[in-house]
Amino acid sequence: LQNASIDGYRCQQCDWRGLSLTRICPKCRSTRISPGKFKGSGRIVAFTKIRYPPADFQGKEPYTVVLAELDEGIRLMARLDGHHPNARIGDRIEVWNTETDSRKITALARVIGA
Amino acid sequence: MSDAGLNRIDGVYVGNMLSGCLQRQENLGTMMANAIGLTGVSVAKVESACASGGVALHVGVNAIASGANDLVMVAGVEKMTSQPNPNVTAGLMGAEDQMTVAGSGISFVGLNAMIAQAYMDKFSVPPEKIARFPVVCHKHALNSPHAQFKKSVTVDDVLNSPMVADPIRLYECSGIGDGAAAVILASEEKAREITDSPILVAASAVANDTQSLHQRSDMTTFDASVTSSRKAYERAKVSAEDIDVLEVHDAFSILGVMALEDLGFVEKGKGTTLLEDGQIEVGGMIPTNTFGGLKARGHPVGATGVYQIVEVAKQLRGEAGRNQVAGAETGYAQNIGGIGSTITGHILARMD
Repeated sequence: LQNASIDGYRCQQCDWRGLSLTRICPKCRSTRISPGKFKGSGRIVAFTKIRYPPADFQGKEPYTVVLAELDEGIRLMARLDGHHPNARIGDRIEVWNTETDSRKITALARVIGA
Repeated sequence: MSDAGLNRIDGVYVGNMLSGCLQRQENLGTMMANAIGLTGVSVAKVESACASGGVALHVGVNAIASGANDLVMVAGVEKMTSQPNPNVTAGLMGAEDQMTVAGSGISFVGLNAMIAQAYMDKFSVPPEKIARFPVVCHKHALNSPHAQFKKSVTVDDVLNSPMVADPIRLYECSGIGDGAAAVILASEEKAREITDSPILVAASAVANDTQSLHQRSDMTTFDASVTSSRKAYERAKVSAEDIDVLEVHDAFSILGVMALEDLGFVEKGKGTTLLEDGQIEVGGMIPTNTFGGLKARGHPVGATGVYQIVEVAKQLRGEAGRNQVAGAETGYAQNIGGIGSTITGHILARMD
């Protein structure tokens, strides 16, 4: 996963970064928004264990979803891949998108260190 | 309509979130109008996730204020029990971004669990302090004729209930249920003609925020809650101290605690201090969720915002039965859609 990355958007004027397309920068109101690619390395900001999942995830429970903050400054939700019983806030993680259409995010993550 | 002595209105606005998803039924505006024998009137379904009811009221108020309608029914309806729970859980996730968030497998309980985790961590608040919120709601529901869960629970019951999404437990979650509520709106002049006990909509405010939780740096406050309440207070020319009865959107207990702070009743991080000595109970400083709130009255999502208005109006009309707040003159209702992404604030007041 050396090349794990997440596609998003960035403002060419103020360097705001985000996951969802916006035509106008929410920070500086510039219209100079361009696609951006962000390295999938980051840390856990929050996490929860899902025991009663939405229909599409039935059978996978229980699983942990983390709010990840990537080192390049964007946040996203990602499901922990595999068994990470002791995941904590601040843990280093690697995040990658499993969708072939990179505008849709179905992110997985794994803990790579405390 | 029988309460208002009416048999004809010229606008029907229906708050609903999930009818298309769970029943494949849309076009609820005309459906509801037909159900009271009406054609030729203004109709709409209003959808803003769990704030659908509150936003429908906002639409109805604006229709009267603009002169577009003379007499309006604002209803909130939801039927959630016709589908298995995982389908409802997936449907509720429709309030979040399907392109960037739903693919993670998080549920709405899970999103609120992250908020609860961040809140407890930032303000060093233990679960047993938050657990007092549903205890108060259940206590109020014992005297609430239309409550879904008319039973009392203890802090221990809450703390020993099953985990749903860590750290949120079952008794901190509103239940799945069906429900409907409606109010009639008219101009002040017209209202005085049709009823002896009209209630003034002193303010109807809406504020939005980012659609997703990951787009915010602080999870322990809802900016849209702060903004909608400040807009509402300003329009009604009141402040939090003037509110006699309060309805907050406690879909999860942590949201009830945060609402007390965001709406200005207590300093940030100190919401649970109001739960310690009966201050949010009937007879306390700010009686809250006096018919049980989302936790115990129920949370049929698109109907909730209208239930809250009916309940505040009952309090102001002195019709709240054993949970009547003596001398209540001004009430506030907060209705939240999505993860704090669309929030309404309504202030009602007696007109006499």
